Amino acid sequence: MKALCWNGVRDLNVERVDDPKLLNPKDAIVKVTMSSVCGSDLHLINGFIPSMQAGDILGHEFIGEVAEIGRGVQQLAVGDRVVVVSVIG
Amino acid sequence: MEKKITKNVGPVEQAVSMALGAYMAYRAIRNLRYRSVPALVAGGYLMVRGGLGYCPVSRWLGKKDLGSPAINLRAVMTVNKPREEVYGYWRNLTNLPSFMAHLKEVVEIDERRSHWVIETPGIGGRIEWDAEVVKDEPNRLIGWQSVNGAAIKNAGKVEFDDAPRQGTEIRIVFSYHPPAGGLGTGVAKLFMPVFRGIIEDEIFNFKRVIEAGEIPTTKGQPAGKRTGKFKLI
Repeated sequence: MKALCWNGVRDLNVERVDDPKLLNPKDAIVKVTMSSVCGSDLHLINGFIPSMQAGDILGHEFIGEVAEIGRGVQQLAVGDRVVVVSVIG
Repeated sequence: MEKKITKNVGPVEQAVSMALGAYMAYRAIRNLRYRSVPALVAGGYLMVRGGLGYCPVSRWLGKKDLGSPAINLRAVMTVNKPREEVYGYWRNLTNLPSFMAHLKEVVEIDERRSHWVIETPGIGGRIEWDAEVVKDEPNRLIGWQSVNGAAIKNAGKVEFDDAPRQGTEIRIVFSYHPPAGGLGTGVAKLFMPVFRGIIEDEIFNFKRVIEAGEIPTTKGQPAGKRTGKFKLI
């Protein structure tokens, strides 16, 4: 997939990375259809968040379509259109 | 009306303040120029501080008296679970390490008493103490404190309320008393922001654990090139 990667302070690049995998039975993979920029992205981009490291993928406010779900997911089905809660991940 | 001043400067610090203040003031007066005015003011301030044993600046920084001040961590959050369930989870203090990583383990000794172990990152040491539940109002409040002889005197309290529409609002306070007064307090204050950040993050993990049953993570998922740059923690 393509991803917006943070490579350092104010150093962003759209790069090709591996596709995400279902690692946890409660995981769902969402194909992003639209994404927005949040005010807190500025803190991330400008290097104010100490837990950031080069290679981190940005973007946490988005909508999309469920592409795959784990065994433990009950409230979603493949093809559902969803809004993603930004606090996870 | 007479107002009593609570001393917040210890005797040694008082003497040092006095001496340094007097020296600064003396130097400033000896070659009095426009530039030496700030030094004169600072020297004067130190002398007053030394003389009275009271320092408004120290007070403003949080040192209210000569006793070692507690470090208080507070958190308020709403979790989407009924009050009974949230209370029940906290009442069993052995559950705390499930969301607070700095706690290695909490073992229940009996209904009221428990044994706590924390691992100090970096130095690889362990700190252990016994704690006792001192307040317990079912579905309302739980309070505990370390029993005598703990290296880090500490206490905690959690209050539970119904959130407006659904779920539970919880208010958490953890207090730690740094080992030694004076220097110990200074060192503790210095590391306070880091310490506070870590503990607060851990406290908020409670919401994840009680609602999702685990702490969600992106660990193991793809990322861009890990060049190792900018990695702080």
